[in-house]
Amino acid sequence: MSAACLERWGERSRLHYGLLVLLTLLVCGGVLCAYFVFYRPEPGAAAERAAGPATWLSWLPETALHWRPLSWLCGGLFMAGAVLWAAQRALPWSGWLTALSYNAAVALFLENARQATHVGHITGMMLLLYALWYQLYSADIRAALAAGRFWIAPLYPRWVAGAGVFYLGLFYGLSGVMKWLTSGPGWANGVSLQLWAQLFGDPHSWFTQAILGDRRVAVLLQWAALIGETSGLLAVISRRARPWVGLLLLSFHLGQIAVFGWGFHANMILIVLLFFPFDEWIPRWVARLEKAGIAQHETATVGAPLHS
Amino acid sequence: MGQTVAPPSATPWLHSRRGRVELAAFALFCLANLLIPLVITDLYPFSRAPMFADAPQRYCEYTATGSDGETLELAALGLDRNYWGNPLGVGVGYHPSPSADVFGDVPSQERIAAWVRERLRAFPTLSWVEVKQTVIGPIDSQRIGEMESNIWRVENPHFQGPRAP
Repeated sequence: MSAACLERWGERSRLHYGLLVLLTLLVCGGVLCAYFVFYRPEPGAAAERAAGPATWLSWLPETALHWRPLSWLCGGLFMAGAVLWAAQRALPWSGWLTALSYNAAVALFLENARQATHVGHITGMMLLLYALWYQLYSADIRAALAAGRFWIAPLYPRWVAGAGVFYLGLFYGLSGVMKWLTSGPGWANGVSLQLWAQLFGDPHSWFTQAILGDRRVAVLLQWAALIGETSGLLAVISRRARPWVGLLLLSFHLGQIAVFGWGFHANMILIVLLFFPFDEWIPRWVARLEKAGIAQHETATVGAPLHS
Repeated sequence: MGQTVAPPSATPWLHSRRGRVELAAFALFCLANLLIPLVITDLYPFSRAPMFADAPQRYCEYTATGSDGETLELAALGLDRNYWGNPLGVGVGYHPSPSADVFGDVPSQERIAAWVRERLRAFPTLSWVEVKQTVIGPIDSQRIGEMESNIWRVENPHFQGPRAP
């Protein structure tokens, strides 16, 4: 990677797009955090304890991992941190409080679970990335707030957007690669999807019935899922391919929700925000709105009666 | 990124201390997410996202009835299904108790009989149990359904007489 190419990661834009992603993360994080706190499973028997660490909190003593009030505390801290972060207060600590309490709530859920879930991973990692951004920019953001330049100061660095795209593409890409490595192209022969639909699917869903009724439908959907997920890696390097990969992944998640009802809604919203060019569209929309606002102001000033 | 603005400093970003710190943070974030999942499948928040990477082609359903006519809990006989599309005990604190029902496998009569016989120690009042295994898989080129069904009676070597009335 050339120095000029690296230098571009240091470019900055105004905060609108970054704040939109941040507020989305806070709202999605709030819903997911509530789920992980209130639906935390009861721990299993000591003999069932899995070998090896499962989360970043695995080093905590068993009693702490099993202590339910710790999850409630994480939920409460998340709420407090999210409100402060959204209000641009207590920077950068409110960011870390939010990101770490969310990830602790998810980790405590998993530490007590037998059944893994991956609905909270992307939100968790993105919250950590945005906390890192605020860590490095909190002084500038506070100064911009004090000077009344918050909305015009260029404080959203390109590398934050780039790291978000990298992580999202990598997460789906790895999931696709795992399917290739574990089962090969035979993964998409339709039978496994039919079995999953039979076992976990909503029997009243039209999609479930279509999958169970015709293997060709199952094969088509599985290939779309396999290509869509693996293409996550392509989305990391190709800006042009990104919206198409995003479309495939959105279709994949819509199908999942229609058949299985799994809660990947937050991932879908983040796919839209990161894989579609909202980072270009939003500054353009803001510029257009500002231009329209200035024009309106000028018209109003010119058209106003003169007072002597 | 639309309407980007170069950093205000005259020093190139890459050569500034701040630029180097930001670049290091960026690189660390990306490398951690790339390398940690290569070493360990799931260590939340890092993950290789292994869900549904398997491709089962059939699965079994079980029911068990005791010699007293009562339906038995499958978990008590180690015939309960622990399958959620993720590798067991990975990325979670608990590994479910061992079960003969491994999703995707069709165990033989001998294996099921040996497995259940071992667990009948907990049922000394039952002289035998009847295990029904139903195999679900492809039944033609388009659909899945019941491929075969077997009923096996397993004698209880730990039987100590019927329950007192």
